[in-house]
Amino acid sequence: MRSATVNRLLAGFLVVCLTNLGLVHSAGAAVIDTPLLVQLEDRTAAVSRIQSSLAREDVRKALVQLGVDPEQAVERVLALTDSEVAQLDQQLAKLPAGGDGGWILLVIVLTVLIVLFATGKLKFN
Amino acid sequence: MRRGAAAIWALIWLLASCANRGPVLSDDQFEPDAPASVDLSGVPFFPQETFQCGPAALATALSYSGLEVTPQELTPRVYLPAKSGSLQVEMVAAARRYDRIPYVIPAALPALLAELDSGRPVVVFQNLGLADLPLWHFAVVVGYARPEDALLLRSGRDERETMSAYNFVRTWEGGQRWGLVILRPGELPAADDPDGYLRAVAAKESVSGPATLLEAYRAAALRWPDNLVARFGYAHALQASGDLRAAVEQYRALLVQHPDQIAALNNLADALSRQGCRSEALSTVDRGLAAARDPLRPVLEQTRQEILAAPADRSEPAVCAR
Repeated sequence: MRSATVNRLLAGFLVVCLTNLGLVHSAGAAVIDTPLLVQLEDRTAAVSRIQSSLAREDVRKALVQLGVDPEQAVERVLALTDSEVAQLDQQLAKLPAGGDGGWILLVIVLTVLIVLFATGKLKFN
Repeated sequence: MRRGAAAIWALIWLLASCANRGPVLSDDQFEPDAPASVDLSGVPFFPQETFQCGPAALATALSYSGLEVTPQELTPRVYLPAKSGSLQVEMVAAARRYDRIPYVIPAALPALLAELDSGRPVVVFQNLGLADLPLWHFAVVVGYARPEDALLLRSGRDERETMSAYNFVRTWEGGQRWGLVILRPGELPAADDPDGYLRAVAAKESVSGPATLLEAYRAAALRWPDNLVARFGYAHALQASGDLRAAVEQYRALLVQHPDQIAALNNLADALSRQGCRSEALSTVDRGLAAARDPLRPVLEQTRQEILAAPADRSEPAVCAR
């Protein structure tokens, strides 16, 4: 059961995706913008806009599956560029996520020590 | 007894290896006029809550750039509950939603140190664990001390962590030497990196439009006048802001250096047409069409149609003359 807000956001999201299918936006109808020029200059990073729109929807669903609030997921995907979307679409599961540091390390070190003591590989004295 | 001996040997080995290596922050890592130490003491500190080092680090850098941002505000924008952490890509994307340009520095220690010299803290990605058992962590580097061969960080719950440069580099290399800097519009990175900077600006433009980026492109065009994207970006930002006269001037300057730049010919033709320069606009777009490759050809054809649909030659104003 989706809320009305989420539906409205999703509709907006699809509109933006579809608008991006055209080559041009901004100043005039037929003006070429700088992001497109960068994409044309950098042929290796060329991602078709159609591919990207499909990938955006995949990434949005994946974010929701990873526990992101559905409304936030829409906005988060809109903040990504085409090549970032392509990267997430292919590697989201593998990418490292910066979380904590300190205390997990402590837990691991303690666990390892406990195991070593328990198995008799390490002894006091 | 045996353990005691082992401990002593370990200590000796440690001391010996410390003595053998030179400083990590050696002179060749710095600009010639860099100071002995930098401490950006004005950088705020947000003690991280469990797993929230991403939001905390990003809020630190955004706040120092003059915005009022809290980690709590960023958590729903970067945090992935199922991964108990945040992705680098989303850290960049979240920063893009503010009036700032998130810029990933070249992956090298001199680039990081140069940013600190320029007074900007650097959000870094570290592996605090092992290669096979990684513990990914975001922190903010706020300074260095060459005499101690150490870096200063806001990290986790530590407001002022001093980390030996050797340990820092080891953990930073684990994170592929990733460093993020928050630039205000018009502010340029310390490194001479036009491609990386312009990619960052264009990425922001692709999600938030060119409106606030005029200063960012202007600064780039001044610093790298021979760079095609810098010049084009400045001209296009002028055009998008409605300053057609200045845009025409910039496109013409660009076309002197890159005579067959199709996108520039197309946009110049559009700007000319909107200023009532119909015949000049037509000859410009035809020059582009003569050279146009596939992906842009339909755009130029559309521009030509629009020029033809515009009112026929008024007396052409002075701006049309080359």
